[in-house]
Amino acid sequence: MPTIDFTQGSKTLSRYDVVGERAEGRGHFVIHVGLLNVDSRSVEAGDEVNAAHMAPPLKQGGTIKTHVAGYVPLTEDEIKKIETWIKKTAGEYQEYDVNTKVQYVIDPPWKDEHDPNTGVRRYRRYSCVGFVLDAHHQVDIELLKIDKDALPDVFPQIINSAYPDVERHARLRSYWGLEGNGPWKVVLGGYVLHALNRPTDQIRREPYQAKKGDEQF
Amino acid sequence: MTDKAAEHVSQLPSTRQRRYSGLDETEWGHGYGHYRYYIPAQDQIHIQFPWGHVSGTLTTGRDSQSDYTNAPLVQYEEAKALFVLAKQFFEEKINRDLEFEESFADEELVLSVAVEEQGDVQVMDTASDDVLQWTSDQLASAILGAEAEADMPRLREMILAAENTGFTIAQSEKLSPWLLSFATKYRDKNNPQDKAAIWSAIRTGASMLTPSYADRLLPLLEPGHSIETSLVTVKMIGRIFEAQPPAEVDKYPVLADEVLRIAEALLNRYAITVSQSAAMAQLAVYALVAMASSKTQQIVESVRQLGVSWFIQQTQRELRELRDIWASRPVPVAERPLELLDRAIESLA
Repeated sequence: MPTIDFTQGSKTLSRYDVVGERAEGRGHFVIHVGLLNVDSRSVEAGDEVNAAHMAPPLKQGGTIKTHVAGYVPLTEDEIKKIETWIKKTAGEYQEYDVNTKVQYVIDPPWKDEHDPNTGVRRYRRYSCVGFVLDAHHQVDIELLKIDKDALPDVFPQIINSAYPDVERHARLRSYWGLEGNGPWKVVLGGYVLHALNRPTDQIRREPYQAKKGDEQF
Repeated sequence: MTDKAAEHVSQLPSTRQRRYSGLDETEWGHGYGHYRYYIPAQDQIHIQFPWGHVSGTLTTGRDSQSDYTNAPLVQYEEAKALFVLAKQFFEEKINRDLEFEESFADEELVLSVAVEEQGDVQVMDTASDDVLQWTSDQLASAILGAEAEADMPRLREMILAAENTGFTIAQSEKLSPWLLSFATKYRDKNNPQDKAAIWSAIRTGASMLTPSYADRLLPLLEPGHSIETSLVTVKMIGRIFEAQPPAEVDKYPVLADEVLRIAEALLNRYAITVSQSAAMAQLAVYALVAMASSKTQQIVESVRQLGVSWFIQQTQRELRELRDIWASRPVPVAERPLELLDRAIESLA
């Protein structure tokens, strides 16, 4: 079961292991996930670790306060593939103080934006979970079933916990893919940790089907 | 919205319909915005807000520190005059608060430009300070304006906003060369703040090009400049042809030669140990295959000869994705470019 909640003390994590942050005062609700972006380091609960993650904007060297973690043991080749993919993706984003929310999307977990006349892709938007899922997708590991039929309903109060901005900004909510009053079929951070809380061969063999309550880990 | 602004807004009244309690509704007059007033007697006034109640017995003395309850009564006209003053005071306060609340509402619309599709005309008499709220017309005019480069911070904002804006074909025809020329001009300035705008200008400018104009990207492929700039450019070349596949092989020989030169320079075991070079090499291979260059097989052989399994697998995976994109098009891709792609995928298997 390659998941860690650090209750037994510190653990050593490796490059591109998944690190998750729990929401303060909301129990085990996982509010944010990303990929550890150093070769190896010992991590304790609450440590701020260097991570590649979709904040927004996409950060290659940002920090995530880590309360939980999970991993599929990656080969050197897989690490190289993810590293190269991140380099290719990073050029589509800017760490600039304008417009970063435009790079984000909740539903679907990733989405391409195109020029309206030519159909040429301009850039890809991600949720924090979408970024982690796509990184694993690059090495043929499908962590989660993300088709609508496979996802549990997510009610507005959960969305508001995960994304405080959307409660205040109706247009932002809509732009991020959440139409109407919910419930919605969206992918949340906790699902990834549950997906990783399985034997390694099973993680590599079949995607996890998230269920109600998996937003907590 | 900043945390500070959020905190301020949370203290403001909502603009929704107010609910009051107390006296019969018919006895109250309603003031501008959010309060109501009631004058029960010549010398008394109540002003009620949803978040509080101001009331008092008015005095002849104008000293605001007076104890109103023990003072002699004033005439109705004087009470009325005082009420007008109080009303002005509160209206000013409410207007200030409303202005702030409106500015918050503006922030809520930060994404309106992105949400609105092309041609969704937002009527504005004057341009807002926030470029993200501009129409495509306003944005195009401002970017193309003679004075645009005089205010670089503003120009950077406009370029980033343009990436999330749908422009008409006519606007794109003017904007695309301008954006690409901006990127060429500023790519070596080494101002970190310009970087974001330069990459964005390349993405937006290139995305507006049809394949027949893709050679406008050639200046951005010249060696000796920032690798990031070339990386974004090569990626966009691949994307132009992925969206509009070529009808025949070798239709774009000049562009293909430039991309081939980049691919050949980077396809060696030393270069691809650096992830950025590896990324660029893969993007160059992708672009060559997507534009159906007759050099496809040659470059694919170079990839294979590297003998680096992860690199070969990842390159093949990307070409398979290109195949999927082409297969999902309503109009079938021409036979020969497709054959070339299939052979490349097979060679890397």
